[in-house]
Amino acid sequence: MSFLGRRETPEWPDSLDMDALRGAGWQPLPFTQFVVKIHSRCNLACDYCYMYEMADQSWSSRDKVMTPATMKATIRRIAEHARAHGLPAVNVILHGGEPLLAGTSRIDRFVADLRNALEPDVRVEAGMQTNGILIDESFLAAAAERRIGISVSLDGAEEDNDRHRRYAGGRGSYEAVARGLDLLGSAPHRPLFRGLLCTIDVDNDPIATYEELLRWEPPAVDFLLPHGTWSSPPPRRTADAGSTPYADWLLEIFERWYTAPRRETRVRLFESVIRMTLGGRSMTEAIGLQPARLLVVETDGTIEQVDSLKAAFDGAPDTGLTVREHPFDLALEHPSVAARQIGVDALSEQCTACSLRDICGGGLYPHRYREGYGFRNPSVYCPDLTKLIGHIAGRVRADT
Amino acid sequence: MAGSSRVGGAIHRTDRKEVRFMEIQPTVLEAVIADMLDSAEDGNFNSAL
Repeated sequence: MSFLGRRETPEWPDSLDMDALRGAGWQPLPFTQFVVKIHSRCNLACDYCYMYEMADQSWSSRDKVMTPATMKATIRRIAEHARAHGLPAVNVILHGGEPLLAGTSRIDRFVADLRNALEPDVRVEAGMQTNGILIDESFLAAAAERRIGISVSLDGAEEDNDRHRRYAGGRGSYEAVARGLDLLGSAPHRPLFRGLLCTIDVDNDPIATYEELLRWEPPAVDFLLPHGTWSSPPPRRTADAGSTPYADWLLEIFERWYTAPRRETRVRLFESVIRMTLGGRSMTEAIGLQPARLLVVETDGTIEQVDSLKAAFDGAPDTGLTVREHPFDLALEHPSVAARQIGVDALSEQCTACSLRDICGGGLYPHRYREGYGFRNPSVYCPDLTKLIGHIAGRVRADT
Repeated sequence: MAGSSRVGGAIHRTDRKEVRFMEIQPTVLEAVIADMLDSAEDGNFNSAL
């Protein structure tokens, strides 16, 4: 089996010696989180989207919607993997594209069949990441019945959100998302609301952005760095190590959040830094050295690695496997999957020697990519992560 | 935790009622630590909450 995706020359971790790893006693950890792409298209055309606007363009050749046969095969593989490894629980995220384009009845059937196949011996945590536009009473009734937690993507106030999150014709999405959030946040449905994901635009005011998100009273929010690599840097991330636009933006929010008289919402990135500073674990793959135990199933049944790798190069998430033909265990043999489970051994020399190594963990794996070299580099966000983590860890140490 | 001081010293003492309310609230740091100690699960690791 080739692990090169659609590249002609190997890069790290293609050269990772799996036999040597095993010989040294390393064992892969089974997958516990499954991102299931039930619809491959989107009703928005956000300009920063890693699915449609970056290096990997595989979406255009995928099935638009996951067929019942592929859903059945996906469920069978999840159940097979969970039972083979004695997992007490799995986390299944319905994703896209825009998952609600698949329609309520298809979503309802999938989660019902998933629970029937796994429960009661394997607990199923079901969730969905949506742009919120198609949230309606019918879907929310099904989500309540099937216990599907819902998180929504929103970048802040209307003008700020609509700079990037637009329909293909250019119209902003805020108004439609706000309707969906009003419904999701209303009394009968609020227990389904998991939180808001906000992609950072440093041109937006950070405090105004945070307070706009708070307006929806989300139980949690997370701030996502725009995807980029050393070969295709994110906006405003220059080679100047003294420039830290993302840390500066996030730290304004951190101070607003941290010094509030009560915790107004959970902020996953900040709380992960705090937890790791105190010896705990990260709650996000964006930082830390925790093994990545997640896998993606595309609409056509293709088994892929974390989907944000699409930002690196065409074919980056490929495993060459499908749910129809292969068990998930075969993906554990993939060097790129192993690279995300071996902690410090996957880091660059610079990261290995860094005092923030164990908290930073090199940042989000796709952000380490450099064409011709692969993923054994510091994050393209290294200066920002250094400043952000250093500040938060310093605050926490001073207060404990 | 150092004494009973609030994290960052940022209690906004705007009126008596608000101060009474905040005295029974855990600070942000206390809330995060309580979650950390209580929860066996860390939630989603991936880009969904």
